[in-house]
Amino acid sequence: MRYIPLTEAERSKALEVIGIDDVEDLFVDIKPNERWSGDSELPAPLDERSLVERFERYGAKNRPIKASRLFLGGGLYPHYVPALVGHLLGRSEFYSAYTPYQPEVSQGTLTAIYEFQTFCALLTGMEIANGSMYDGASALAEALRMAARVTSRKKALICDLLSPRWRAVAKTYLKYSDMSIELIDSSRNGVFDAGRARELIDEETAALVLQSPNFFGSIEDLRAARAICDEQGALLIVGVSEMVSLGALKSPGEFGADIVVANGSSFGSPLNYGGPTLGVFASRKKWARHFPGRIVGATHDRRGRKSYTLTLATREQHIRRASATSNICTNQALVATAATIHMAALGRVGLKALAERNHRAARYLADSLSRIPRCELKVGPLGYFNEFALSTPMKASELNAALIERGFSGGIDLSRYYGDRFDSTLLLTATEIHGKDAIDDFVAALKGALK
Amino acid sequence: MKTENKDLNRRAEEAISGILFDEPTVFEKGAPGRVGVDIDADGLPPVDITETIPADYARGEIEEAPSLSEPELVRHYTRLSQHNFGIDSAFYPLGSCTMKYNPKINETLASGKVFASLHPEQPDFMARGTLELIDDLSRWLCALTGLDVCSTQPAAGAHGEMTALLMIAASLAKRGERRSKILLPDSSHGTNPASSAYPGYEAKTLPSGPDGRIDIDKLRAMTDSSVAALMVTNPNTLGLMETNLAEAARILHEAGGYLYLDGANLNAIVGRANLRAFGVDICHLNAHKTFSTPHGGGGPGAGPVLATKEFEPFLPTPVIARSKDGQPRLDYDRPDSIGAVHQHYGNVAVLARAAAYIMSMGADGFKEVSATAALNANYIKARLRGRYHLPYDQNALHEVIFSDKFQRAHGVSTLDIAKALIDRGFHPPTIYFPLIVKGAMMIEPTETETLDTLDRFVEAMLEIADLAERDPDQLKKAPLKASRERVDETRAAREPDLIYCCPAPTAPSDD
Repeated sequence: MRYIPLTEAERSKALEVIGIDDVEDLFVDIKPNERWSGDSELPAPLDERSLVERFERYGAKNRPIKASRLFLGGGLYPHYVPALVGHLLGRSEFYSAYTPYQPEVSQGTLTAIYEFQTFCALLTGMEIANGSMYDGASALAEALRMAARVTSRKKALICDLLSPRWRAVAKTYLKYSDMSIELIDSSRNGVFDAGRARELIDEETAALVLQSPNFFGSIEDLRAARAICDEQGALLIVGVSEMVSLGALKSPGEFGADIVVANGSSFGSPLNYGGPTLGVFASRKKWARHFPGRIVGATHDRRGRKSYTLTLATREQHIRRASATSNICTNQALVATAATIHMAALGRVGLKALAERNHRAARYLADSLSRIPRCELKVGPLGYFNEFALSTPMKASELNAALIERGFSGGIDLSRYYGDRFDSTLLLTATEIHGKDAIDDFVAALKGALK
Repeated sequence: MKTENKDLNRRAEEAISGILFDEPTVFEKGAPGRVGVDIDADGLPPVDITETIPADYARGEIEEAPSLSEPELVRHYTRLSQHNFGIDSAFYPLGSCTMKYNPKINETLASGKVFASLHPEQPDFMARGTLELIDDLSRWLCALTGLDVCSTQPAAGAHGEMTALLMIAASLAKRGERRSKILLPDSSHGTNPASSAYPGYEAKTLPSGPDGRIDIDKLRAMTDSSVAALMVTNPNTLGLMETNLAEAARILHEAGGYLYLDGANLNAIVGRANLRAFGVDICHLNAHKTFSTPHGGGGPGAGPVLATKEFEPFLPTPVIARSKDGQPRLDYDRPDSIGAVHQHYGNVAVLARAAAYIMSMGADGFKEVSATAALNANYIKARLRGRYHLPYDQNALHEVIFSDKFQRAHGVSTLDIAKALIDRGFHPPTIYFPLIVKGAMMIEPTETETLDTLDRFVEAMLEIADLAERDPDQLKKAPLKASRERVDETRAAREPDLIYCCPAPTAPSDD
């Protein structure tokens, strides 16, 4: 086996040093009735060439669509990842390391994660951020748990225009806990129903949770949300499913968010059929000791040189055990490193330019589509970023099928998450991956499909 | 370039040989006006963003963001990578983490465009190949554990633990029961009690017997109708096989509870033991341990959950089902499911690597894995016996736990030994775990090392043991050959500095 180097001679020598005749002697504690016998249920081993062929056979059954012909968003967005990200990430000193428990030999990962935390804090407008979460959904679930810790309250009020997938995960996490979730039904308006939120919020509410831009793509009135929180002393948690938007939109922190959770994989990662993605968690410094997950901090080495290390470990499972703030060990460090490299490459000018380029594409797509008879943009009063809902004269499921036939992936059929009222509403996105020609082709295809 | 850091940057640029150790953060590099990514309009008409977005919702440039050109960026992150130690660098015997070689072909295969460019909202029929791959992986993991059902949704081991505990709570709820406790041996991973908290369980510690294994009498005394499950690691974190697991399972089952297995140490028994025969009801595995997927400096991993048929209704959504025509599809219509635990379908690209690994190994390959892992650990144990204290000198499998008892007499601690190993070219073992061993060093060599590497490691350990007696102060100074000398972790925790904000980092002292 090519990954196992020991020769027969080395094995014999090892056995002699150990003082046994047969390696099987090491396994005497496995009783005969506990022995494994599943040999026939595993595939026969393949050499590397055959393995490549086998993977090609799996791959041939997929039908990927060129990114510029893909207009799907809903939490994950098609983006162009510069080649330098892949090349740098391919350095196996990064990818073949474990969690940086020994800082003296892990400054690479630790510095990159410290940079990641800084970028996340800057983009979200928060004071600090952690070293990543599994995805935006788990970041939300942990934000709710943290809100309960810092407020000693047990109720979360969530706008239903926050990603239905994130809400589903949060519900699972809290299922057997003493925390409850109440939804603010806002889908009819397509933006957060502040009046309803004011009715539902009370002194038991730990946090009010909104996504902006929301799942329908519309920018939310975070100022109104902050005011409602202040009336009852609740925290404001803001979800951001498209981190790129923060290059052009005022940060949630500037509106007074207490915790920001985000999906950060728009920076640096391919779509990966939904995983790995990247959870971002940012909040206030005064709650650092309530944070979930790994955190990197700066310090010095013995010679006074700036150094980085995992820190605030007393929150964590290996010290605090049952009363840890979370159970997280392995997070998404390499994905965070990829995002860091991409954000650094964009830099001050590029973060804004990329966001504006996204908006430009979405605006052109929206303008083109709204000129099609009986197609109507469903956008809130504060506008949209790179995603919007569009009602059409055709069932969204049928329209999508027709678009696939024409070689495009259309939008998300909103009835899938919000019921039959939305059965002819599509959620569409356009990013820097889409140029004028790509959008014109799509609009023509959609027009054709409607006929 | 900010003037405060000119010296640091110039020193980095002027070094003429070797690895550059003083690399500032990216925020201290570059100069306003530089860009690392060019962005064109690709024919799109210009828009004024404030036409669609109110001015007080729009944002200017983020001034604190750095400005670097592409070549500067590549050097910065290349240098950072040089300050890292990976399994490709050298021996990495980090106990309980199974740092085995990460096959290169798996990287190539999993990042192939035909897999990586799929959007999770594309209809199932467009992702048929990926779904089949994950479905096959699930089947193989069932075969390897002897269990019946699998969820590949959890993104890490601890995520798998939480998922499994929620499934246990759901199964009990289905019977109309709400139990309050999880039992854990005192040698358990810290994630076990932390995960128990998610479904609201109280974690109760089960003291180990004098042989380091589960004390069956104590288990019997602690098990009643309030216990939802016992979570065990097998072999346990002392590296010992639990020889009474079937009996433990019987005790739990009689009381209506479950036996949970933490699969962190599966590499010891993969291809050799049937977890079902131990009486295990549910477990999690770690793709980034047993199944060779790279750990990425802290993830992404994958923590699939395996269970008996009894747990099928409670699996997280979605599960991969088959349509009438035999094609795979994602099934969300599962009324008794605990619900979703991942935004989409888990860390699919990590799972693809694990599947590639299984296809490369086959059943015989896995037997060779566990045999060689155990041989290597026992070889180290045999060669270091007498020079390092063995708190539980019994039949070890894939890892061996020493303590610093002998060296402590000379004022040398496990931490000193770990740092001295760095200077000798090795990554330190896991230290100070398990908690029940004072000054523990948990050494897990894995199967992907040559005997020559193990010999060099052993010789380094022996030299350190000598130095502990002759010149302990020398060990206290280690490491001297890494990019940093001993890092002050206490200060980091006392004065948290978690993001770059100060323009002037402390200048390094002279070399």
